[in-house]
Amino acid sequence: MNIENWLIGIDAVLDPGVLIFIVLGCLVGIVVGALPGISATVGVAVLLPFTFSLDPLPGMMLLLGIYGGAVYAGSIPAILIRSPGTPASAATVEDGNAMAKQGRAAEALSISVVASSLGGLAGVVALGLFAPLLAGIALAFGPAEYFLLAVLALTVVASVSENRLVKGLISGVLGVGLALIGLDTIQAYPRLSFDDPNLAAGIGFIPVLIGLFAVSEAFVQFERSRGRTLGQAAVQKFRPTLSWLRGITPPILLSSPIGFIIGIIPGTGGDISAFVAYNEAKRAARDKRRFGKGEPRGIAAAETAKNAGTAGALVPMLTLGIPGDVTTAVLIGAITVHGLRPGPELFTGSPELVYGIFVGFLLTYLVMLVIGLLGTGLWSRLITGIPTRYLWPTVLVLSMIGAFAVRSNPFDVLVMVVFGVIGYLMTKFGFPLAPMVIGLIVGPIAESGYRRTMIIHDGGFGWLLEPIPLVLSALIVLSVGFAVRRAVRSPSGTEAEGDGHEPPAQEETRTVDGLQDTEGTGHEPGSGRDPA
Amino acid sequence: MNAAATTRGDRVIGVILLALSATLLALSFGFPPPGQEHDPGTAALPRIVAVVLGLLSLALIWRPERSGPLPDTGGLVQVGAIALLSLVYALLLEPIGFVLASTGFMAAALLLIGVRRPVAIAAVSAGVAVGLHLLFAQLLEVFLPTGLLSGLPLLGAA
Repeated sequence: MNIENWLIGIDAVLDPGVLIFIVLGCLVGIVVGALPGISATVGVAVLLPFTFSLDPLPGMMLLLGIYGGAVYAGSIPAILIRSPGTPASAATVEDGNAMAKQGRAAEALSISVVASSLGGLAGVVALGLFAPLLAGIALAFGPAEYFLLAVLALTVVASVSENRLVKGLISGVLGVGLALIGLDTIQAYPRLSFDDPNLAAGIGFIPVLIGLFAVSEAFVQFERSRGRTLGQAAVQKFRPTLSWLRGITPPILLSSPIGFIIGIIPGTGGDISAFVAYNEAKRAARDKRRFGKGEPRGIAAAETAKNAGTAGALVPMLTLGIPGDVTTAVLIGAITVHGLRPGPELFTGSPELVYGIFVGFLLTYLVMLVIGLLGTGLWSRLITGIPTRYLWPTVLVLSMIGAFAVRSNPFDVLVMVVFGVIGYLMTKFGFPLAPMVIGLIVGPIAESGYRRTMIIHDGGFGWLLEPIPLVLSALIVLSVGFAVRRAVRSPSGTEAEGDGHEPPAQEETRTVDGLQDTEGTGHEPGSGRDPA
Repeated sequence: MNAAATTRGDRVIGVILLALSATLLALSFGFPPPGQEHDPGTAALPRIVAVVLGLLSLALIWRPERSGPLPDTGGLVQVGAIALLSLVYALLLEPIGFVLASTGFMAAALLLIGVRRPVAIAAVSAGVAVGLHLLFAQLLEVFLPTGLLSGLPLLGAA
């Protein structure tokens, strides 16, 4: 371990100009996450332009604060009104809302903030220890390794698309296809640009991402805008005790490594971590029947893992430039705007940024613990009092700024609107959005990696038998095989149902209107998942 | 929710994607040959994408999946209206400038989402547009188009 780099990082963070953005990011993130419909991805994407004029480290701290805070706070509406504020909180809905209905909402909220913060802290410690080692190894990675890593990210993100393998793959392939537009990375030939200079410059992934996630979500909210009110939730006082803390410690200890490790796998992030950890905690428990009916250990497991996953997702992003989830894809954009490139060279070239991120993200979770414990009552009043009618038009204006500001190009704003419509249609027809964004980012990495590899190895395939490429190829085959096996076992026609052990389908997690919908159909988020 | 209608949606999408993949494949034959020996070339990935997308579209047509509930007519009108508004906003952003375009867009969007109090609409629309302009253009030094207002103090300063 390089002590000197850590000192550089601590020094960089202990600057009032950085600390203020840690606190600010955390506060904004909690508000963003607590608001139904605005996920961590939407929050980070929409607030990205705020960081353009900042230095890289304070900008990253603002966005990481939003990321960590929003992933935690998504559980506040999950517990209070049964509507996860972000997809990662879907695993908390059953037990959290059951506790709220038993009059134990304050206790559930306290578990959520303690477990999220401790999971996040453990994850960041693991990130700080593990990422520099991986970066050291990644320095030796050549084009072949990058090619295979990019393909792995694509197959993983498509295969975790909950029983929608074909649609997940289509989404990913379309993302790769979008990346074809513009100059190719080796011959500089303007593909599919039809003599248009805007197209020749390529489709920017920030406008696409804002369109797919923020704009399409706003469209969904406009569609449902007639006649709705937010659910009511009362929160009583709760004082944490030592014995209470001891009760939730085992699931926190078990779920931290689970969340971190799953978060590392490119293309997964906290959403899946939470479900895996929840199921593991259930398996480890002697009394399983209380899971799903208000079990504190279930909440603790899911909460710990989802925030540990945020730190895990930073590992491939920082060390390889390959996003761990969609939110970290935006973070890549935030770094490249400053002329820096995520990857192993960043660790030696900008230690103040990389180690500053480790130290600062640790502080983020400490700040979150304090804010979260102090503010439980406040947050519950906030989510029931927010006038969402004023919110969504404003989100659209902020989205415009975000898409325009990256290159000061009105063409990007058009791209964003078009992808808002595409994202809306994809959501309606059950196509997951994440693979498209991941495809758009890793497509060029995969292509230039493959072509360079073929040029270096004179057109032969012997490189596939070298140790690291062999392992990566095996992982690719495994991820596809796993998904195909699951798709084959699930009979056609019941695909949306799942078996209660996997993340719920897209439309259940992505939005949140089950209880807000007064004209409702009786469909609650998660109701298609586990009838128990 | 009509199950037959939603599987038909998948089939229609499958056909559109199939046409898209065929177009991409056809276009890729106009791309130049590789410049170096052993380089698969600039046309290689487009062809792979076209073939894989074609196969996946066939899979979608052959075994369409169920999608969620589709919006009713009223919902569709709402979505169509806000999408159209956003498009007009994007097109007007540069010619008339951020402040004017955003004020107009906010007012129309608030009306559309169901706000009916004229004072609230006027105050929130102008407040959000001017506030965000001052925040970004003045404080954060992010360039926003000034359009018709360019030259005015504060609001017209880029």
